[in-house]
Amino acid sequence: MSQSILTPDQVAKLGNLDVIARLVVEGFLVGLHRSPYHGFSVEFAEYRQYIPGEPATNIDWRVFGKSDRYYTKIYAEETNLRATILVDASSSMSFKSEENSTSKIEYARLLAASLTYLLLKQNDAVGLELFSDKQLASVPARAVRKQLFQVLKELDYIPEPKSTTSIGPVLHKVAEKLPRRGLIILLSDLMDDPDEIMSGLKHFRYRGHEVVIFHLLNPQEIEFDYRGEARFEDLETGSAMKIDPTHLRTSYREKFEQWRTILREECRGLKIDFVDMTVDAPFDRALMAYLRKRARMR
Amino acid sequence: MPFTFLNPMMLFAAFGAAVPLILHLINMRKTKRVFFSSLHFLEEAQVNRSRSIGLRRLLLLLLRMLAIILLALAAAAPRLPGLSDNTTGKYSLLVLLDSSASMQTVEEGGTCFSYACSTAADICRTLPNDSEIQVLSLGTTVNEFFAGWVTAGESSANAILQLTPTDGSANLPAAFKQCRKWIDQAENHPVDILLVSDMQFSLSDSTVLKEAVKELDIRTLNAITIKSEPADGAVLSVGLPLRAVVPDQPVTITATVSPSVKGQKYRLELYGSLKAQAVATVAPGVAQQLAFPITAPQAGNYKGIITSDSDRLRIDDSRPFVLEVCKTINLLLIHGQDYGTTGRGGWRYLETALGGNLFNVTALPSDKVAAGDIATADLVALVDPDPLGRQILNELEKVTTRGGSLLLLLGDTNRLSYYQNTLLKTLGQECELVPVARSEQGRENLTVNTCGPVFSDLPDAALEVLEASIWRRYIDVKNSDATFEMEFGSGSPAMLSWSRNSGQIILLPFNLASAENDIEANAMFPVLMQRIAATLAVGNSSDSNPDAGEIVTFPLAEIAGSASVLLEPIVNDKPMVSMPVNLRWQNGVGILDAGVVDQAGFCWFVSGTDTLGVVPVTVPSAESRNPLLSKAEFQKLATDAGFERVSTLSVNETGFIGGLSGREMAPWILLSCVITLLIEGYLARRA
Repeated sequence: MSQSILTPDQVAKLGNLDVIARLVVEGFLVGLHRSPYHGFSVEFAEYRQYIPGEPATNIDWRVFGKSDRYYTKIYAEETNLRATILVDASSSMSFKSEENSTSKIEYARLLAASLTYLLLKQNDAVGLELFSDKQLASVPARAVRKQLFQVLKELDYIPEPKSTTSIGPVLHKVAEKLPRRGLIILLSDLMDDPDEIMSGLKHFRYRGHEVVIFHLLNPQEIEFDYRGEARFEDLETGSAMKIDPTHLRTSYREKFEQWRTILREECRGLKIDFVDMTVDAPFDRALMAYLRKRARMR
Repeated sequence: MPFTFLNPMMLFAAFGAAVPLILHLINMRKTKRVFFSSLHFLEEAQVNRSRSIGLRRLLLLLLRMLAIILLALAAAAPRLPGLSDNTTGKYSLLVLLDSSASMQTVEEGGTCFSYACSTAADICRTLPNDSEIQVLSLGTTVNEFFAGWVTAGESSANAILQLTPTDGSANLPAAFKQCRKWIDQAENHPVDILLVSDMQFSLSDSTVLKEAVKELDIRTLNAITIKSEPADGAVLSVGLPLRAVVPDQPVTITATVSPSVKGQKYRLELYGSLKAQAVATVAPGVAQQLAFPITAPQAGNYKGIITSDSDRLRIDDSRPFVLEVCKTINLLLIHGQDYGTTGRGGWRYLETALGGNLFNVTALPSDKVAAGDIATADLVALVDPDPLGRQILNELEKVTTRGGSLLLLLGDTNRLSYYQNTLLKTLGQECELVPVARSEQGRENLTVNTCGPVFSDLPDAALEVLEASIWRRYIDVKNSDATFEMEFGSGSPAMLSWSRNSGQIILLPFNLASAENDIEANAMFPVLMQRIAATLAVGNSSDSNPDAGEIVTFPLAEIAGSASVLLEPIVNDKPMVSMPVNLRWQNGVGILDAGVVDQAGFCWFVSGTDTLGVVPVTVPSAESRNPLLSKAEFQKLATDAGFERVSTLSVNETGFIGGLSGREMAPWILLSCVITLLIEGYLARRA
């Protein structure tokens, strides 16, 4: 797998989401040794000169008979995937640390844009659902080129998060709304009751959807590496407590890891791909996770 | 002050300890605000935390403050002061080595004195290079051991081991007076004074000690206590008959003892022959008076000793004395002229009263008496004498210088002016003789002071008769500082006694010659006179015996060639010592002076093969009786005397030398600081 040249922080500074998505995805694809998504459709796209080492089965022998040259046929893949990207826009997603100035919602926004671009490039249908404690915006899934701009438009205007997360009910609503089997990509920090989350996810699985969860966290949320006494305020509830992080670090890490493990295990039980993402991680990891899932769904 | 600081200004750095405190307070006030995604996990974690965090933070704060204070303290370079005020590293050590009798107490491994000597010698060996030492032997008299300051080292240490103890007392004031001289001659100042002693001192007058210390410039005193338990079993004093003893007379000699065990036996020996025994019945350490009844031997001077089996301090278990047994007492009676049949002539009552076996009375009128008559008499009595010549008066004074006694019976009111202004003044009595008006010359009883030697053992029945007897008072003696041995009923003295030189004088303001006197009819007169004369004639006064460490003298009746002294110690295994004597003159009397004798025993004054006399030298009873001072008591004694810093050490010589220069404390404080920081680091990590 290639390494992204730009870090999420640097990418976020580029500004234009369209450009960012293209940059991310093209850079990602160029980095791959080979594209596994060409040549598997029935619809012809173009000829390409045979490169020694390729399977000989792809050689068009008719053309060889006419021109005495080896050519292989390239087919455009037909889409049969309907993907919906669910972006959590609750207050907890606005968290950022001194070390990582990209908030989780910002990262989710970039990642969602990149995934949309990639999916559309693969001719898959892409939809978007923005939610916090309720649905904020919805773009039905379509595979047209224009869909990118529809999605990016919604992502551009994510309102300032001011609400608590309530994933469970929203997932149920979306699950009811989506017409047929497809791919659900959830971008969230999952800061909610695990039972409710799992309940919503089960609904998707019941409806025949494949689910990939990108669990977005700030490294500081995992490490809790704060120094000195401070007043900690909850972004969602507004409650506060004065603590010395050094005293609570070990205990916090234990509790936090315990929670993540529960989520991970529960998802594994539902055959849901659970991808741990931190806001300093390159987007490639998310894109690759998607591609793997896509390959399995073929 | 427990510490001295080389850089005291650095102590101000200790205010830096306020920095952690201020930071702590600022941090408490300025808490930063952190927005966090969810406090859910923090709340769960907080529940499991103990409430000791606050305490731990407080402890951390204190440790940080302590570390800063310790750093400041270390930077100030504190120094634990040494025993010496001298910081040059070269010392002049003046050792006051107690050589008193109590230092001869045998402890495990030797006597206290030998231990003191070896301690002083070891200190001498280990003193730093170029240090000097002088040792003062601390007895009743204080003697320097070295002729001057000597370099400390092996040879001077070996010399110190040759010191010998005395049988006297430790004279602390005299020692400090001597110190003054040696301090002036020392090279290294300030001089260090080290007292090595068992802390048994007899200080009757603390002002003397204060005066001695005041003259010293030094206000620091170090003392090494030679630990010793009090040694009992001593013979503290001997009580000899107070009046003249004649051969075959039953007499009782008493001794005050302090037994070491209950039932301890004491023996009385005369010339080595056991004469009597007595058993102490009191508990150990309690003083008891024992009586030794003996029959007086034939006339002569007997060296005697009261002794017991020795305990740990042998020297005070035996006490020497000399018992004088008289054959007759030559009494010279000097009287005035008779006034026909009506006055004077009362001296005959005295002659009659004293006539008998003991007294050989020679009566001479005042104008017939010669100087030689007085010199050869054992006792001189003057009964209303006429004015005497200067030569006779001088001779009377010599009597007292020789230790002899005088009896004065003065009652002639016509001679009162002469008696008051000439006779009594010559004999050291400034008083006023006032004739009693005839109307007041009543008949009065007597009141007797039984504490005096004359009446001390008078039987009660005799005392009652004496006090019931009637006397007539003719003269009042006023403004006298003499002791009232007997008083008239009106309170006027009837008998006065005082000491003059070494002798004793008794004055009775009686008019024996008055026609109206009752002497002839008074049955108690002969008894009273015999008792007085026998008291004055006695030479057995154990109180006047010199103690070891004092000057021993012997008055000469006549000069006969050269003389010397043989000292016979009371401890048998000590050799007899021969000492030269000096002849000196005092009030025209020749005195043989043996100088300071620092051992207890018998001083035999000899001339050729003749024995002139014997003087017993005793151990000061304070050496046995005084309790040993504790460290605190000695410190108080020395502090009261004027020393500002007194260290009483039970240390060996290494400890003393090591302690002389003091100790740098900075390394230890730095170590403490490091330990504090390590603890702080550990707690901080745990937190």
